[in-house]
Amino acid sequence: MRDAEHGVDVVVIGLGATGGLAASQLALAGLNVVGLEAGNWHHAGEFAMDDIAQLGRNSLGAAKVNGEVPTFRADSHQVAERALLNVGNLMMNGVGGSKTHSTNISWRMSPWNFRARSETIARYGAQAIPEGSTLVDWPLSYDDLEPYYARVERLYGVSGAAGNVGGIRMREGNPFEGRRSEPYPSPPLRRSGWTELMKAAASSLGWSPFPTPASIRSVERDGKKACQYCGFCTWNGCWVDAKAVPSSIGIPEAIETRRLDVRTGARVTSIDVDGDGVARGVTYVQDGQARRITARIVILSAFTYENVRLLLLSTSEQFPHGLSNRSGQVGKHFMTHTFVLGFGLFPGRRLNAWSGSNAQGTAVADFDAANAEHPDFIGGGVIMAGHEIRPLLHHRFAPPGVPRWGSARKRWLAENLQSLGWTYTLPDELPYEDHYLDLDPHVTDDHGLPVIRVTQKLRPNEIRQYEYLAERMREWFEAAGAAEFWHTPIANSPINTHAYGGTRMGEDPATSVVDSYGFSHEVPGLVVLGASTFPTSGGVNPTETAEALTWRTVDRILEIGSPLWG
Amino acid sequence: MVAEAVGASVLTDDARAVLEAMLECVHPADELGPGAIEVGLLDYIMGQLRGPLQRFVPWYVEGLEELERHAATTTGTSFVDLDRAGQEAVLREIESLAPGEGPALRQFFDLVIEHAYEGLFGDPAYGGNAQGAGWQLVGYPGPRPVLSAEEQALDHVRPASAASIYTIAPFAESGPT
Repeated sequence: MRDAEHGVDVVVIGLGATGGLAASQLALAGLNVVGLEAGNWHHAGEFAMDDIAQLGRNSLGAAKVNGEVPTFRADSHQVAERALLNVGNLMMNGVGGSKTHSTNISWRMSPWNFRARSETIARYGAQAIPEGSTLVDWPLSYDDLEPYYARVERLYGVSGAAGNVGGIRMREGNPFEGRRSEPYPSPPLRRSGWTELMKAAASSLGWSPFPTPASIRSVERDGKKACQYCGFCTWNGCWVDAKAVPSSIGIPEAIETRRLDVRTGARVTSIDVDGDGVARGVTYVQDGQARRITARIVILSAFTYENVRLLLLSTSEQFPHGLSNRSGQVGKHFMTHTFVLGFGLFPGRRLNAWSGSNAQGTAVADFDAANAEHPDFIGGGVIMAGHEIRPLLHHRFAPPGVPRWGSARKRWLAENLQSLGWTYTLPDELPYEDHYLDLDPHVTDDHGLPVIRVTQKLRPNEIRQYEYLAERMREWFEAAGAAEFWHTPIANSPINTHAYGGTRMGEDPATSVVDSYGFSHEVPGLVVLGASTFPTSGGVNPTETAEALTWRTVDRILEIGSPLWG
Repeated sequence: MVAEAVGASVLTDDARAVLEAMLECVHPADELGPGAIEVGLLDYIMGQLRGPLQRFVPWYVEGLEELERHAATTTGTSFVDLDRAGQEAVLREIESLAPGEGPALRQFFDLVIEHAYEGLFGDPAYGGNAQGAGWQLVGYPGPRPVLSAEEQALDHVRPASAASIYTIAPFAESGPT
């Protein structure tokens, strides 16, 4: 192994949505930062509108999926199996991380989410918390995070229509959203025949539809182009660089200061601590060589599964059960989002929904958080009608009863695929005592290291949520005039791109791993970023909340300065 | 990158004949349009088996043999010699096999269906979707990098295109990997 290098203020593990933002903002503020990314830079030439490459072969994500993908089991009596789904595992390595190829829908969580436990008990009593759930309040409030949501939206030119600015209700936006200090910096993505059809239908039901907010430019800004509505947004990078990915915004500026050193093809194998249990740096492999780097602060931002895995693999005399895991809390309180997709047919209509991004949508928050009355379950989710009906993907979603092959299938596809619309929802799955991540005892990756094992199943509270939201989707499609409605089965998505917990934040070190800034309770100098720190999953896409928390952490690091490190 | 000449021997001639018959059942020629072979689904699969889907070659070799065995056992005739209705009956039987009765054969059929639809709806550069027949079937106007507001209006019709994305700027210089 080469001698360790010294003199770096911060080493960041993983340059995705959170690591990329942290690395660039810390460097821009004057710190010396090394960013280690297991993947590579990606460029527009890789982003063709080609679904064999993107969906079939998952050209951007296959390496991460096949190399890191966890195993899965429903409960501890079962043996976990590799969940090798090439389509559906929306995660990738690379500078910019999974924001490169995800849909980039960009939400703030609801104020209720931050106090989900207290609010539930106040409204329905303690017995409403499902048995076995470890539901807690977050250790910070929506108001604490609000200025950072605003800052992220401003940096990235997030596009949307505000519903509540400074307490003033704005008709075009989400009436349930938390109070914002400023409107969105960019108007919503373009409206379409499909988004407006569903908007009218929602309004006719007395719901309050609004444009889905997106971390995608709707207008040119700072010399960067806007969305071209190509229809290949998810599982694909953006050929005009209209998605707000850290590799495009933040990292280039930081590299120019010469204080950010991005190293690609660099996979961290352990986080190193000294004899006092203080984080001192990392060991990583690059070009087949093991290297060490010391730094005052180690930021772990490799996404939920890898955050947990690296902590569990980083054992030492001081931390025999994994770094920051004397409490036994690492891996605990794992949650995921089981997506439910709803479909409707509009015979004779050509929806042209294969165009655009799935972030180009109409959303309703009437059934998210505690916005509606449903005493028989805790949680809720937004429902979004979006775009990107792709023949190679959506032919699979023909309703039950349509044969999987043959003339009858051919006829169904010919008559219906262009008349197919869809919605999706991502209900708020609660944390439970026996849902967790740990190291698989049998399965290893290419380096011989154990992969993560997921133990998790659907519980009655979550099933009731999905059924409720599926019924709302049915109502929505019926109001829109659909002749037929169906939805995907309510079943676990074994390894989901929305993954939460495992290093949850909290004030009590006995029941959490980090504080509200992501600072490890047990390990000075160790910071964890990303949805692995979330105590609850919420009913919206996670990225903007992870980004806002990250920026708050950056400010805190800069504010505290040297007392942070040992 | 169009598939190389479809003579390379990833599969024996007999195995290819069985696969051809299977594919024609999955996507038959009818009044809606041409069938699997004419649309290039065999070319697509053979091309992929020589490259990115190489790891599935054993599945195809064993699956096609197993299918032949199943047909011989249940009908007394080889799969290729059955008429269309007979072949479809065999495939439906395979679909309804209980988990203990032949999971590999059932999974192989699932795989063929998966690959057949990739060939049908995928970019023509890979050898399937010949003349954009798959896209034409479902009224999909073909991939393009820029779409206008007008094209996203309900009931707007853009003329069907068979153009591979690799014939359109800025992807015309590159090609599928």
